[in-house]
Amino acid sequence: MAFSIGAALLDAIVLAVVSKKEEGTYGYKITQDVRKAIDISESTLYPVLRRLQKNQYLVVYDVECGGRNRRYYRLTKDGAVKLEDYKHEWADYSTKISQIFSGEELT
Amino acid sequence: MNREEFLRQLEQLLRDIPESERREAMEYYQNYFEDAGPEREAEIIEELGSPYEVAESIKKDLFGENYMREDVIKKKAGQNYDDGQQRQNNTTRNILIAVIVVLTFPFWVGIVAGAFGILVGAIVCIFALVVALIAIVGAFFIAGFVMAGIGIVKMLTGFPAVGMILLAIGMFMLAASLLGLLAVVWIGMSIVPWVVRSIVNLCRKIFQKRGAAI
Repeated sequence: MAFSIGAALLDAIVLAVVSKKEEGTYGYKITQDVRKAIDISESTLYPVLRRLQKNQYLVVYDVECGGRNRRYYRLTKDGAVKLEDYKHEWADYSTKISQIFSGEELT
Repeated sequence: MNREEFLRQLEQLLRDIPESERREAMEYYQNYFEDAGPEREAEIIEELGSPYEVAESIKKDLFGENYMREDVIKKKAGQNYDDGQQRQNNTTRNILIAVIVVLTFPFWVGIVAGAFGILVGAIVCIFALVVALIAIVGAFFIAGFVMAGIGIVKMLTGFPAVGMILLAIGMFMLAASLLGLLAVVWIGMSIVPWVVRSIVNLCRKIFQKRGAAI
């Protein structure tokens, strides 16, 4: 893709992907879901998940699955608030960009 | 490289980060391989790049954006030094060039004027050639028609042989004028734009050079 994705946008995308699953989701699944939308390498997401976890936007918990532990991620309250912020900012930002592209006057 | 080897190397590379961070990362990637399944193992190793790259991405996040490996820092510092030196040299060189240009003004002003004259002359010459070609084509076209007309009249008034020759010459001239027309169209469509483009490029190059030198 021609456009690069900054840290904030990547955080927002990951939060959105995780929020889709009420019961939480795991690293591999998150990576595959994010990669459906944007082209990032598989190694990009661990640091992002770790950072979001440290900022307490995500919590992790282990679930027994087929004789082993699988680490799940779920949105915290703070994470949900943050995601809403990101969504608003994105709506504003993308509207403006689209207006410029279509040649409309900025309001 | 297989999964065990990949994870072992990664653990080695992460030995300078806190124990808890290392355990967390190792667990994540172990999980990752397990969830992907053995059939995707090779593909994932390929995608992840090397254990080294994975370790770098983790450390970068842990130690902040400014985190850099020592060898990279050294290389950067060296580069900056070189850049500074280079800039200094460029400035000195530019001043020298400016002095030389001013001092030698009486010599090169004639050459520049001459070059400009040649350029203008060449443009006018090309333009004149095109106009001449158009005139010749027009003349052939008109003359061809007249010749053919006279030929037909002669044929009808009892000089068939002379008439046919005149008709043939007239047709020949018409054909030549049509070919000439093609040539004019071709010149107009390709040669003229090319000449204009070259001149514009030449001017731009000269001005850019001048701008860069100052």
